[in-house]
Amino acid sequence: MFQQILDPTGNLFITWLVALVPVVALLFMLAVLRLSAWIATLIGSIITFALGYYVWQMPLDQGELAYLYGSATGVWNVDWITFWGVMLFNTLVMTGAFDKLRRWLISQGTQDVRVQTILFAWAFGALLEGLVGFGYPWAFVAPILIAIGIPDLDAIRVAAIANNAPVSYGALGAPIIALAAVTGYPLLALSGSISKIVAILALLPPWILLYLVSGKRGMWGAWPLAVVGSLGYIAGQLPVGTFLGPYLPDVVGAIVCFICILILLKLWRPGRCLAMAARRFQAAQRPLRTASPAARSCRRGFQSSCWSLWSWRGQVHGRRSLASLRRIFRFPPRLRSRKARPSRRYSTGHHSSAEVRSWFRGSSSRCCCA
Amino acid sequence: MNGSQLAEIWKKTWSQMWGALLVGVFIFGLAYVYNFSGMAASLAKAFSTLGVAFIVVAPILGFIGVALSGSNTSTNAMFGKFQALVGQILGFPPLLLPTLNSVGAEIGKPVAPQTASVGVSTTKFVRNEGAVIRHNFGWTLALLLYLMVIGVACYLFFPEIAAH
Repeated sequence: MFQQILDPTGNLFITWLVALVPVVALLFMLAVLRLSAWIATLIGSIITFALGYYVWQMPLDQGELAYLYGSATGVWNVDWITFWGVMLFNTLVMTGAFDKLRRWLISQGTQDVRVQTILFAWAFGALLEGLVGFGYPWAFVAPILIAIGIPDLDAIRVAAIANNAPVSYGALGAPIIALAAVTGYPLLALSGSISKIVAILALLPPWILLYLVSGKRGMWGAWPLAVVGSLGYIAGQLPVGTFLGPYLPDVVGAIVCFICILILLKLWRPGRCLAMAARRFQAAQRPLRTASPAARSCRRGFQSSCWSLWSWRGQVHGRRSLASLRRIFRFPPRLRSRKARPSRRYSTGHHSSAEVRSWFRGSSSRCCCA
Repeated sequence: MNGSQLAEIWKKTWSQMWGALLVGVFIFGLAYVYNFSGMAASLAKAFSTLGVAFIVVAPILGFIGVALSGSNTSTNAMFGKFQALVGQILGFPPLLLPTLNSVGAEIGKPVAPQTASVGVSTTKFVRNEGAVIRHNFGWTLALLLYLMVIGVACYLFFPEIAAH
């Protein structure tokens, strides 16, 4: 039996440097030389093997078996599941189901940029991350945000920062499966421990997102969105991650988050609609009928006994202004016609941004009270 | 759905995924040899000289790993065993350091060039990931700091969530 040698060079610092060589070489090839990842990992494998053989005196035959065993683990534990995750995603895109969901969500939210940010960057991004990962959430979400009127670079940043907390469950939990495979700790225990840390972490990003799209006042004016957005995701993510495993926390978290936000929007809407972002809190063009948004939200928060009355009022109010919005903004006919056929084209959301843009045309100059 | 659509989806998935699938094969082989030969143990032994302060370093290593490699899975495969060994040497709750590695890796995602190049493919910042990454960097660091605070708080006040 091969006994590992802890300090083969006799000097712990030099051993540390040598042990870092494979890691540094790998990162150097990826980040500086910009080699394809599979070539970099192949060369990195050779370097690691050579160092293991010459410095750590690993027996060649057992080393080969370790490599084969590792590769087989990679195929079975990670490749197999991520491949079918992407297959599932491509099928959803191909059949138009994904586009339908996206359109339906846009129509559910208001024109308010903060609502769309939480719905898309946060919840929809988590759904995409849970199924595919690999940066696809940015690629899908950024065009939607740009179409709403967020400047390009900020839109990408919002999509990227939103794509923080859900990454560990990305591509149906591949990172956690990898972690369990190499550490030998039980998968469910690791998934549970990560889901708890992620739950604490996920309290922050929705606030950052609101701040990034609408500045400080916009953020405080829409505080229920941030609270419901983060708690909704956590409510789905935490129990699934703790009790079922790392495969679906993102997907369930995103769905619960959608449901919570859509319910919230039935009861409450941001006091002033921020149609255009970029930290400009545009004053409403007509005077508000009630108090400032923050004051109104606080009042609603505290006077729970009046909740139903208020929500009923808000609903009527919201419906009326939505009707006027429809007149103003010309909803695309596709949304209204029931026979509309879903798009069969492949895309990463690019083709539709023009449509969304036309739908929101004029919204940058108008502000509405919803 | 019909047969030709299925075939197209199959082909499209292969063309998207073959690189990532190969990485899955090689990175796990690399990681298993790294762990089996004892390099991970040597690295852990050296890092454990930092003592309890390593709890702050653990998420940074995950962050650096993903910021340069672009993959949370690869980062976990490379660093997972070593983080677990440091935890065992220093007597941390066993799952804490691997967990912080993985969550730290999440946070590095917005500044990873590989992720960014896919992410900006649908915007006008194609091949201009550098600007995007610089733009993302500040908030990413803020989140990393937040994670360090969570890690320390977890170690001090509620270590049972990372118990075996």
